[in-house]
Formats: sequence, C-alpha cells, structure tokens
Amino acid sequence: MEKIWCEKYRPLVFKDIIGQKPIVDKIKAMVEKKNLPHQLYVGPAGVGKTSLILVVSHELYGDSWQENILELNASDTRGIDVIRNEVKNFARTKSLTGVPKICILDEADSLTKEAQQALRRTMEKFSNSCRFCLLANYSSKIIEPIQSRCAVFRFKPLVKEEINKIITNVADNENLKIGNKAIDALFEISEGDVRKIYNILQSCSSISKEITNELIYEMVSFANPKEVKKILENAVSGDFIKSREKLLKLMLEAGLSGTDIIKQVQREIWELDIENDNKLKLIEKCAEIEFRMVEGADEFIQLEALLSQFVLLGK
Amino acid sequence: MNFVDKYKPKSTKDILGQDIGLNQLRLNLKKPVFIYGPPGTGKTATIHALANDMNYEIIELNASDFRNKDEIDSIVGNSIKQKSLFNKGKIILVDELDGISGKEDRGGVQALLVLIQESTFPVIMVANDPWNSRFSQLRMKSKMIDFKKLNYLTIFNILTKICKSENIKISDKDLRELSIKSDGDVRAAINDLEIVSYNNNLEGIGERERETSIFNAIQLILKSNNPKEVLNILDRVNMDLNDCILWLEENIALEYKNKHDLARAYDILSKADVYRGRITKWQHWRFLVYIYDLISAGIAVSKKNKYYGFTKYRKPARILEIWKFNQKNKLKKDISIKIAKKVHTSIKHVKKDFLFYKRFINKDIIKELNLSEEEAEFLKN
Repeated sequence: MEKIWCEKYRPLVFKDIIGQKPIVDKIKAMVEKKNLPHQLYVGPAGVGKTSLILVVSHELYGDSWQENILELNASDTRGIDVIRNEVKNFARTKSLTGVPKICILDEADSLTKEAQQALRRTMEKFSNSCRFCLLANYSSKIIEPIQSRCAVFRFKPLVKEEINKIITNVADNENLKIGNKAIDALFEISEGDVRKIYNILQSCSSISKEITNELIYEMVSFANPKEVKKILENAVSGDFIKSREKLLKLMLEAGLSGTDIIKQVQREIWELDIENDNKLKLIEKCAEIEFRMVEGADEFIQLEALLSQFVLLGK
Repeated sequence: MNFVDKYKPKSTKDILGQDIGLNQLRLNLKKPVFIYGPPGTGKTATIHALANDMNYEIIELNASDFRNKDEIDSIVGNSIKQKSLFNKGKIILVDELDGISGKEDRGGVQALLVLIQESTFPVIMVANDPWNSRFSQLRMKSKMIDFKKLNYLTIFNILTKICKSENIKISDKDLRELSIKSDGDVRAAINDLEIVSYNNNLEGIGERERETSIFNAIQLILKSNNPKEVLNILDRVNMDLNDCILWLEENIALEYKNKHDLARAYDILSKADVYRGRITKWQHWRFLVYIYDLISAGIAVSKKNKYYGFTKYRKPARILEIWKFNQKNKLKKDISIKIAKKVHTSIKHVKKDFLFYKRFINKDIIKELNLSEEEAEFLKN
C-alpha cells in the first residue's frame, strides 16, 4: 500500500537518523537515563528536528507514545489561548509511565511574544509532569527567558553525502532509477530540506520511475509558477494596478507569504529588461521592504510599495 | 419658531439643488430606497415635502427603535399592512440609520431587512454614511440614492430669500462667506444666518467639526497639495485606522498616475504600516499620531502634480478577495489540515507544497488520510 514517503521513511530508532550525529548522541544518552530537560531545537526546515523528538517519544513510551506527547504547530495555532488552555491541560497531569510527558511545539518562533511569556510560567510550574521541546528555525525569535530554560541544540543542514544516502535509500526501496545529475538537482532545489526531497521524488515517481533532472525541474517549476516574473514585468511596463491584482491572486492561490514573494522578487530583478543601475536600486529597495515587512503590520502594503518602485524604475 | 423649521420646504417645488436625488426618489418609490449624503443636504426634508405633495402619511422610525423585530412591530404594528383611517398612503421613514450600533443593536439591521420585505408601503432609509459593512445587505436590497453636498450658490440663494422675507440687512459678501463656510450644509447655513441676524456680525460664528465620508476624505487627500487642509481629515471619518489605510491603499493607484508620485505615496504608506506594526508589538500608541500625519498630509504632499477631473474611487477589494478565495478553497484547507497532521508539519507548509502532495496522493493515501469523497474529488481537478 502506497504511503506518503516523508512519513514512510521517517526514522523510528536513533540509529536510523541520518546526520546530526553529535546531537543524536547526547539526546540518546539522556533518553537512556530517562532524564530529559526542556529542549530547544534550532535549524532550517527538514533537517530532522521533528524526526529526532519523535524517535525520543518512541523510545521513552513505546506503544503508548501517542498518549504521552502533545504535538502543536505554532504557526497554525499561535495565539495565547492555546498555550493557556490546551498546553496547560496537557502539562498539568502526570503520565502513567512515570516518565514526564513531552509537549512538542513546532515552529515555536512564530509564537507571539505574549504566548511565549505565558509559556514560560507553564514550563516552570509543570516541569515535573511535562517537558517541553520547542522546534524553531531561528532562535532569535524565542524570548531569552525561554532559551535560558532549555537545552539548546543547533541542527546543521545535511551535507551532500547524507542527502545522497537518503536518496539512494528511497530509490532502492521504490525501484527508482536516478542518476547523479538528478541527485545534484534535488540537492540544489531542496536546499537540504529532506521533506521536500521526499515530496519532489514522490511527485516525480507518479509520472515515471526514471527520475531525470529534467523531470525534477519540470515538477518544481510546475509547483512554483513563474508568475512573479510576469507580475514584475507588468509593474516595469507601468501597469501598477494589473501587477498588484496578479500579486494578490498568486499569493492566495499558491499560499505564499510576503517573505516568500520577496525572495523570488530578489532573484528575478537581475532577469528584468531594465538598466543595470536601476536593478541595483531595486535590490536596495527590496532589502528595505523586506526589513519593513518584519516590523510592519500588513505584508501586502509593503509589497505594493515595492511594486511602485518597479513602476518608477521601469521603462 | 427658528428659521430652520420656519423655512422647511413644504413642497418639492421648494427643494433647491437636489434635482437628481429628488427625481430618483420619485421614480423609485415602489422599492426600498436608501438615501445617503452628508448632513444638511435635504434628505429628510425632501421626503417630507414629497409626502406632502402626494398626501401621504409618514410613519417615522428612529434608528434607536430598531433593536429587534418585536419593538418594530409595536411601533409600526399592523399599519404597514393596511391603509390608514383616512385612506391615506404611507411612507415608512427610517431616519438616522447611522445610529444603529453594531454591538448593542444587534438584530436591528436584521429586523430592518424583514421590514423592507414585508412592508406594502414604501420604506425609505436615511443615513450619512452607508458604506459601513453592517449595512451591506440593506445596500444590496435597496435603491441607493446619493444626496450630494449643496453648491454654495444654491445655499447663497436660499439665504438671500430668507433675508428678504425676514428683512435682514446683510451684505452679499458676508452672505457668500456664510454659504461657503457651511460646506454644503444648508441647515448649518440657515442656523448661522439666524445667529448673525441678531447683531449683523459674522464674528464669533464657530466652525463645525464635521464628520465626513471616507470618499470625501480620500478625495481631499489625493487631490490637495496643502498639508494643513488634509491633516485632520481622517479624524472626522467614522472608520478605524486599518480601514482608512485599506481605502488609501486601494485608491492611491487610481489617482496618482505619475510614477514618481505613485512610488512616493506608497513609500509613505509603507512607512506608516511599519509604525502600525510597532504599535501592536510594543503597545506604543504614541506612534498613532505619526501614522495619521503620514497617511493624510504625507500622502497628499508626496505628489508633485495636480490631478484634476473626476476619479472614481473604489471600495477596498483586497479583503473581499481574500474572503471569496477562502470560501472557494475551504476544501484545500481541510485537506491541508489532514496532511499536516500526518506528516508532522504546519498547515502553512503543506499549502505551500500543495501541488506536490496533490500530484502523488492516490487511492491508498486518500484512505490513509481519511479524506472525504468531496475532498478526494477536489484533488482530481
């Protein structure tokens, strides 16, 4: 029976985890003593943060792991209410296994400051019955009092050999034919995000068991439409209103955030048909707007300000 | 009797400067009508004059009566379904609709919707600002009639007539000044005239803080080059900051055709947005004054050109687009929630990579994810 690969190949025991060796060794030692501190895992997407804590849960609780962990994704439920209610209710009762329960807060860096403040008390108050494991891309967005209560582990992006190992393993199991060129392409496109590698591979395999780099690129461009380029071209030719309409449509339909858009914009600037001096100015504007987006309230207004610069510096 | 009551128009013949509005009202009496416009433009007066001409009786409801359906029934009662004793026709006039409060009078608008459907007599609603979202259903079901500010010459003529009949000696120059100062509000002008008539002196007549519609505010900001003129205009709009920003965001691009002006104006808006973010992060409300300065005077002076002529401003479309999209894509969200749970990641993340998942989700995985038939169907397209 076919399954979603990124789950099918998720490691269940410590020895199956690829990469992050120093961290895995330390955690393994702690698990053997059944003594886990609060933890903060920091690192880019798809390098094994969730996998590691799930392995920990399997090791600690065996078959009853699901009753003993609470998995929340902060980017979906980032309000203070969740911390006050759901987390507190879970944390206050003891586990039957005698080992403290684990509350996994994924993407904790998108929790609001207020929610983090609320969390800080909960962590302390119920640390006998529950340990927290916070997963984040950037530790700078986690308030200091929380960082100081956690053992911090910094996950590194997987290196080429580790990625190769993962890809070959899937290829063997799923009877895929995949050459070195295609592996290189996957490595580059995924930026080391293993979940993305599984997703791309599984999409490709729904078309052909022979994975070529052309197929990979086609699959990726299909998922990331080149709409951004068209939007910028509209702006450069002076049609602000049309470009902003298209932008809104793209953001909604592809579910892209302002930051996602601005990353693509920055890459596309150099491809535009305008004077080089102006490209440079636009890069500067892009940086400025990305900064303002972090500080501001409404991403779309920031993007409109950026688009108007393309109109200004266009043809 | 004060002048305003004394010189109230008795017949539609006495109504000056609202020909278009009056005609539209005459033509549309069969359906629910929603008249809107700034204060003192003759909205209520026109309705009374018209009823007088047609020998209709007016049943007047104040907005505060509209708390729920029972209360309406107790006021209007069965009279909406039968002719009056003297066999007169009736007009049901709902005045000062702006007064319906969003929270406390919940149900008021609903009750009104029922009324306009059931009533056998014409229902006329009146408000200064009809663009509030709580009136959206009423707007859809009614004929909207716009009563514009009166031209100052019209007001001047009205005042001259009153002066003549009251035998007031006042120079044309002063009369003209009164008319201009009234800013299209004939009731204000007549009130001012009455005060002036005591001592024939214009001094000491205070300016009125006027509430203004968002359309007027936007127009002033986008057309004016004088920062002082627009500085406090948004204070007078009955709309919160976020909505004001959305309106500006939508309409700057429609007015500022010069690309330098366009870029400067959106830059100002973007800076204002940064301060808005800082307020929510740090609760530093002092920044609010800078935001208001930026989005009023800032946007006004960011243009170096003058834009003459009529520009058709629009309601902000973005929020509506997002809402429509979410309705349409509810299934995508539901599916994403199920996938996210399965693969231990965020819904946001799944949505971003949705096209990958969509491609490889087959019968087995549909079963594993426990997708409904409807959801499975959605993935096929």
